[in-house]
Amino acid sequence: MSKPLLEVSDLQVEFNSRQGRVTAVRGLTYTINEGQSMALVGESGSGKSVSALAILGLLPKKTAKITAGSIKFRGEELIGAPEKSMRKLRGGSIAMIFQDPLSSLNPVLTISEQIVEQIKAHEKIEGKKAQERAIELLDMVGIPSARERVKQYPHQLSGGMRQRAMIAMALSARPSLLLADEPTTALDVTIQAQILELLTNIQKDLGMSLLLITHDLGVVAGFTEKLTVMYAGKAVEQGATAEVLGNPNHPYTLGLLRSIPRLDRPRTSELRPIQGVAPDMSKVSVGCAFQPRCEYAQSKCASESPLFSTISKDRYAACWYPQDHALQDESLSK
Amino acid sequence: MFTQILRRIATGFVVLWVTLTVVFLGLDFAPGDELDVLLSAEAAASLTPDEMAAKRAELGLDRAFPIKYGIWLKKVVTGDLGYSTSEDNDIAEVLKVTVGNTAMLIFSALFFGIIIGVFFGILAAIKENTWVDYVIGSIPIFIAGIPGFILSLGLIYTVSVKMNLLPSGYMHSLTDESFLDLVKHMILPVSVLSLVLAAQLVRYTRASMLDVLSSEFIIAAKAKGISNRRVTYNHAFKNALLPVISVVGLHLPEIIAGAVITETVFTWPGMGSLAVRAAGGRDVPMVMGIVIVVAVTVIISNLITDIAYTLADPRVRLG
Repeated sequence: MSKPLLEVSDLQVEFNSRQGRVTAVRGLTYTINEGQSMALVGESGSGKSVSALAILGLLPKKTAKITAGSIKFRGEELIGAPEKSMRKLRGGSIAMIFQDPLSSLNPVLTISEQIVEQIKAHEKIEGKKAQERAIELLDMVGIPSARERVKQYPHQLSGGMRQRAMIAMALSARPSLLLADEPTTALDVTIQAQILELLTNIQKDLGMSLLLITHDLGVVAGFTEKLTVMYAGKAVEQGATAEVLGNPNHPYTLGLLRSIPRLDRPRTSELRPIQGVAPDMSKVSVGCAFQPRCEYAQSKCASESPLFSTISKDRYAACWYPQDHALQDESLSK
Repeated sequence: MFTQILRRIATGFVVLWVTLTVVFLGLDFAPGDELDVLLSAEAAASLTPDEMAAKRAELGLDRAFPIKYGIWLKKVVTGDLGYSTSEDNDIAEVLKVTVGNTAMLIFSALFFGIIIGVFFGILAAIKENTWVDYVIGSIPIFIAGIPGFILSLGLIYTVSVKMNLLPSGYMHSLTDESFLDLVKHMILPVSVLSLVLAAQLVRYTRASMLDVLSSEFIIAAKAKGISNRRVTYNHAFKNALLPVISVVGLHLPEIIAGAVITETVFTWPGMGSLAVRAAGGRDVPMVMGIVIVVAVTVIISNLITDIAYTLADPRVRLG
């Protein structure tokens, strides 16, 4: 069994907005081992991106605050760690790629300038050598004629190329953990698969750990070992990806899976969307946050909040009445 | 990129030609002509209409409009702007001296105004919503609320009259033509002009910087582990500068107009004072000469703005 690399436990993040306090993350617990890949799935506003920024200590200082919990990287606490050691981690041991490569690359700097700058931030290296490394990295992520491309500006590359350049940049200091925040959401469907494949190949080749944040269960299925499902700022279900998708314990996960069109179901079968809307994160909820939308809810659900606890071996869920629905999922979890 | 700049230069020439034509039309349609300016009222009264017509023919004033226009345009292009009655000198000669003096003021004001404005704008943005930001944010409103000449008079009263630190006007002291003396004379007018410019730039720079600082590539840059300094200057500032370049370009004519008043208050022998004298003396050709110089300046400064923008933003450069 490999050692845990990143341990997040009971993380809570609060935002001060004009409408008052919003608790965006309300208790998130997960562990990523060395070389392991985990997906963090949830709908918009469920707090998944915020939790990734919290790892790097990049939450907006004026408005956001981590109110509880701990984030440990290689056993060392990151919350409240000095800025200097955080800066070493950022882009060094922990790298991050973002949703929209066009808006996360600086438009007035060349690809080369942006990669070299990151290499230089983490090791003493000559400019020429760093430049060569940048070209090698672009080569590695599959950018053709990297030597010419490296001199170009982000707007001169296509969306897929830009995301590849972002990945090259993230890999430049050989990180042990890569945080990928919806890395394919802004891309064409055809490019999505290529980028995901690239990410998982690199992850395996370099023995790197990967946290893949997405709202797309389809993305998760073939690409990660572990899966954490978030709802309203909380982890509601966790386990091996294939097991969670094949036999969801939490009604929310079940609802998500039922609302996705599937090739292995008859075309006439109706999709079953989850009723209702996601809760207002500025309100304090009593009981289970999913209870108003849950078809299995009982009176206890409305008054007491379920703890995130073990359901079976290596399976966790936050539910008073965990379900046991084996879905015919071979196609999804292959 | 090179063809783009060439195209801009060509457009500049077209704009210049249109301006010159409008100036000529203004001259031509205005009542009276060169003869009226040359002759005193008594001399004109003593001439018969026939004699007047002969004089007009002598001066070429009776020719058809297109020919007159052609001759005038050729003269202007070769630098012959005519004779100034109020300055009693060749207009081109007068302008050569005064334009230099004004350029000295304006370039110094641009230099200091941009440095001060951009510096405090960045500072205010970095220290957003702290007392530093509030102080930097309120001073420009104060300055913008005071007309330039009041500011000038206020400075003359306090610095020159009460504290007796700096001269209140002119370019040189009577007995001293040294560079240091010139600098002393420049301090007050340049302060006024650069403060007014800086007051506007502070607010633009702050807004632009805040806008950039909240963009995703700044978070991405921070996630790379580079220093805050580098994030601020290499990533944010380079982007925040783009709108500031446009603003400086747009405000240039205003700065030139501001120089007219400031020069008059400080009796600086530049184009501003000259324009006021020429207008007072009904010296139309002189005023037109000044208009041409200002037009050329504005066209050139727009061109420089465009080129600066092209150099600063790769998206414009290639798109």
